[in-house]
Amino acid sequence: MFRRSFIMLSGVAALASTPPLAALAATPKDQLVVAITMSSMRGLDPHEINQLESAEVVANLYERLIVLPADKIAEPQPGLAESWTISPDGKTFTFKIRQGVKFHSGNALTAKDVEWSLRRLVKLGLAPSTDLRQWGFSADNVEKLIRATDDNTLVLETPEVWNANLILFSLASFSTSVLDSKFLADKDKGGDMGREFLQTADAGSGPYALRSWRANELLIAEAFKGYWQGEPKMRRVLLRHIPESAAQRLQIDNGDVDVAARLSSTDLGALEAGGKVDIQKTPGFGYYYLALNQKDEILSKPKVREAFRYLIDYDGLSATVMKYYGIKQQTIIPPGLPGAIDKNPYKLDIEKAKQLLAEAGYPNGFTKVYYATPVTPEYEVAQSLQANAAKAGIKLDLQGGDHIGKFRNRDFELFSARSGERLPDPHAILQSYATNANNTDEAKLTGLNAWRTAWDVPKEIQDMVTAAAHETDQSKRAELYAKINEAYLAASPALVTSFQRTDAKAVRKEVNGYLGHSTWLTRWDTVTKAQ
Amino acid sequence: MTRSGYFNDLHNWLISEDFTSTRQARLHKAYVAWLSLLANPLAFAGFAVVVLLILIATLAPIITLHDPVSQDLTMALKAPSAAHWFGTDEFGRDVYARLVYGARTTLYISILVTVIVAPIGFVIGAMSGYLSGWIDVVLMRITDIFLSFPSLVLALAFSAALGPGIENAVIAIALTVWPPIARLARAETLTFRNADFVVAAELQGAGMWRILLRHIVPLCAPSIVVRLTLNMSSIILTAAGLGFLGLGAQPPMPEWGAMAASGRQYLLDAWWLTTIPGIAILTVSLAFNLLGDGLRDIMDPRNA
Amino acid sequence: MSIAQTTEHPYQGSRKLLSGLRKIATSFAVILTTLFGLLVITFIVGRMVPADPVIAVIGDQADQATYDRVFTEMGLDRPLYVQFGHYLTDIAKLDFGQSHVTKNPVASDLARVFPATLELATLATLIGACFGVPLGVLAAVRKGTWVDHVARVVGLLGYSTPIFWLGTIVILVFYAKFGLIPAGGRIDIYNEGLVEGPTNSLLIDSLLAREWDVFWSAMHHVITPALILGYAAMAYLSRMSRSFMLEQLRQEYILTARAKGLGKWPIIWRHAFRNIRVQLLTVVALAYCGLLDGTVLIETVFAWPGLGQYLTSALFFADMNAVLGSVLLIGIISIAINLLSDIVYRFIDPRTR
Repeated sequence: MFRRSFIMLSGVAALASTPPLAALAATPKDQLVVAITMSSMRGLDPHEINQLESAEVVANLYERLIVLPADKIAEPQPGLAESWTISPDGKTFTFKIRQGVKFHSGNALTAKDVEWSLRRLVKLGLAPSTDLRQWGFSADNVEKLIRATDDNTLVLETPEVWNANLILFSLASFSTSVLDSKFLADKDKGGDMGREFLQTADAGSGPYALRSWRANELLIAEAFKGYWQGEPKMRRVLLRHIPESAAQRLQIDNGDVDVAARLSSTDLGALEAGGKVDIQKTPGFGYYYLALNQKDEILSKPKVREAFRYLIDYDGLSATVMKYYGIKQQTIIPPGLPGAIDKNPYKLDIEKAKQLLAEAGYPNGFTKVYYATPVTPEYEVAQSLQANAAKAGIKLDLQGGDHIGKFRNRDFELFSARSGERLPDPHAILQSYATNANNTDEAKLTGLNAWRTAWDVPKEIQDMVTAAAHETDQSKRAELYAKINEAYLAASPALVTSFQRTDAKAVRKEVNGYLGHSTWLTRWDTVTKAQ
Repeated sequence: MTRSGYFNDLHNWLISEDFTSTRQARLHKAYVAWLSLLANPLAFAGFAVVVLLILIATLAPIITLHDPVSQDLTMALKAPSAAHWFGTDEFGRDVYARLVYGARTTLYISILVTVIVAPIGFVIGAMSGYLSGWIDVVLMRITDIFLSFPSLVLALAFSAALGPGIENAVIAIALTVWPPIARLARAETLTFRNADFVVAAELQGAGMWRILLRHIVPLCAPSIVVRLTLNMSSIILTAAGLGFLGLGAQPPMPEWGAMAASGRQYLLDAWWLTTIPGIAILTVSLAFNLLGDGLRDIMDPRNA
Repeated sequence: MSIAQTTEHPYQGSRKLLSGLRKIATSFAVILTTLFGLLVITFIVGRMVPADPVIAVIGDQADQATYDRVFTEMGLDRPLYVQFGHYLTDIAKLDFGQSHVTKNPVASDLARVFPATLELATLATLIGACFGVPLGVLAAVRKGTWVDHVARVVGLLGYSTPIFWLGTIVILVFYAKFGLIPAGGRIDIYNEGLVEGPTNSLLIDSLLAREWDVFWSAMHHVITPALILGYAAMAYLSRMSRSFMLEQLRQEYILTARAKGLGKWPIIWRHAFRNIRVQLLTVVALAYCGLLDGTVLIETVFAWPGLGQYLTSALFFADMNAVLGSVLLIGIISIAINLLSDIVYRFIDPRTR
């Protein structure tokens, strides 16, 4: 349409005979165009990536044993595994692998591919391997514990008894995607199991195959004709890197894109009011959090930690910058999961904060350096806290930048960011926020937010978290989590959670079946477009 | 004596070329420059805006009603009105107040850069020109290396390396501004290097530093001042560009480039957030350019 | 060698040749040291970026074992001078390493993004020269009149406008309000992937492939950012050509020609302009270099997948190899353009022979 309007400008076409702009501006009916921000995408190897945008791509290029539907996120459904059984002792999972599934290369998918893929995830030992390694799998035992007994059967044994859901959820995560082991056999470079090759290529059986990817520019995926569930409706899916929220808004409003995935709250608000798009707010399993380094003498005082809870403008932010990005949430288990309670006792109260600071021995406040990432809405939340803290006498020297490395090394005073877990289970969150087996610097439990914050989590909370993960009885488990939730709230934690993360996307009304997924597995093959 | 009579006498004393003292000669020079500035309307306009900027920055607390950093989320993104002349930003802060206080940031950056760069550029350039030989070669090589980068790319790289923050931005910009000054100082020094008065001073046993300070500095000063004034505009634009990329001033400090950049989030609903700081940057940098251009005409009439 | 030199004494000629060779050797050494300095600076900058490059690769939640592995894989455990040594040997082999962000070899990334920037900067320079030079000449000829004043203000405005801001406002007005221009990118989404190859410049490739739709789409996308950058270039070029022209107009031969009764414009174009051609060429080259600067910001505004955007995102994500590669490329291009204009200057300008 731009070309047309250009010619129109040049005076070649008569104005009267040209249809109005809006009618021209539509993406082709058999193609889905998604506006995203690609800047944090790091390759497309399912066993290496650890990030939302890449995960959505991988979710559609590959498939997994288990499927968690977007609308029934905690109910495991058959995927590549047609069915499964769990041994009475709860430690052996036997999966029957679906027959007739083809990889994009044409190879048939067998249990051997599943075995190879799951072992590869553990052996590579990169970030997403946590999904299996946290249950006790390691490079040393994985050959023994995960094995294909024949072409259609995969047996997986866990070293300890865990709640079965935790294992099944893990096998639905993008990280447990099944790769084409025959196709990758000759792509190995120095024992990397095809890692270099898979950064910018795919070897999956999913509904879409990767056509091309130009980093920070464009990704094109094409429908896989041989897909076992039938060829998807959308012939091509194009992900376009559009970093500016305003540009995304203009383009979705104009019909140049069908879905916009990185919009600011005001732009989302305006689009919602405009009526051409639906806004999807997908709750995620993570929080906007503020970490107070417990190695700091002042910040380690419980009253000071408590004071910060009164310095966040929960309601003001909810109505503005966080309107689409989060839901006010002060407890540690998100709604909808076992143990969740609806309790938000804190509100912005400068006087109360001042009083707590005085009781802690700092009536005149103090000065601290505050690290935050300069992206919306995290930076707005940080600046709001900075302004409120100033009123209570705390001077926060806000420094925007990529400080996650310093956070991991405990080299900070205040730090805020947002987290996102991939298993729809309280354990995924509590593991990071409420366990810290060894609080010494040498322990280097750098994957855990609690360790990074140097917070020696009360022992009874830690014990309950461990017990709950091993508990096989669902109702007992829910009770335990409710107790943990209360105890955590009362502990005035060094990790102050303020909002549950939600991921907001704008989807044009003529697009059906594009459903935001809480664990980043949004499907493209269910998408259709109305006329 | 009437007032106008007094001014007439003063004018005549200043304009007269029969100097009775060095002070008169200096004042005469300044006065003539001032008269030519008045005669050049564009340059004068630039001068007026710069003076206005300094006034605004100094009087910021008096001429604003709102605090530039205090937030009120219920007042976020309100359009310009009688209470908020330039509207409010995403935190409900008064854009007019932030603009006025932002003038301080702009002046702070540009003056600090100039103060750092002028002596460094001069010393390197003058030493290079005065001493010649291998010192000249080494110093000019270093200068050339810095000059071989486009300046924004260099400033961007340095300020990303140093981390965000206004002091780091100043250092990064200074690193890109000194080489042309050094080049200029070298060229000027070379023209005076073998002049009689320099040789005479050397014969009297004056050291290098004394010669540079007493004899070379006064002669180089006019062209360096012109260059620095013209540089002001590029310093302001570079600072704004860094602010735009999130590398300059950190919140809540008001800075025009950062204001324009953060306003881009809300471009379609709150045009004033980006438009107004942008106009401010444009006006001030144009003013410095007009002034510098005028000064060059005055001091270097060949180009007029 | 020019004809004039053949009449010289042969001994003198060979001495000239020798000194010429020495000159070439010196300037070669100069380039080498500049390049080395460039390498040192880029290396320091690359290692100083505060973001943690390992985390940029493995993400936030990875545990320490993963971190340590990748840290070693990236060679960060070795002392800095060893890293610099490796870096130098790699560069000597024209191996810029792999980008942690795009996961491609930096060299192939640069081959992809650089033509996009080149396309934009070239078009902008052309626009700048086509408007700027005549404007400057006119201002010089009509010195002191309103034409001159207008030219001065237009020029100084170009010097003073923050182009990232101008770009934003242009998008707001011409895309959002009137829908006349695209919002950004190099091409319409449905023309994606139709043309691939050989130069990676969409304008040239689509012409070669005779894909007119693609060509128009690419042209339509490039023209707005090019006009904005071109304005900045025009400002510079008009001011320079004005001052060159003024110098010429003061020369005696102009007066002589006038006295001979030649018309005003023929003198200006045939004589004065001829004499400033070489100087103009040099400043056009400098403007071209300066535009590499301008693209950094304008590419962010127009989502133009070029070198500027590549560099900015590399800096923010501590993608060291990409930072080093792109800064080095920009530096080398600057040096090359300066050198080239120097050589051209020597060849064309009779006075430097």
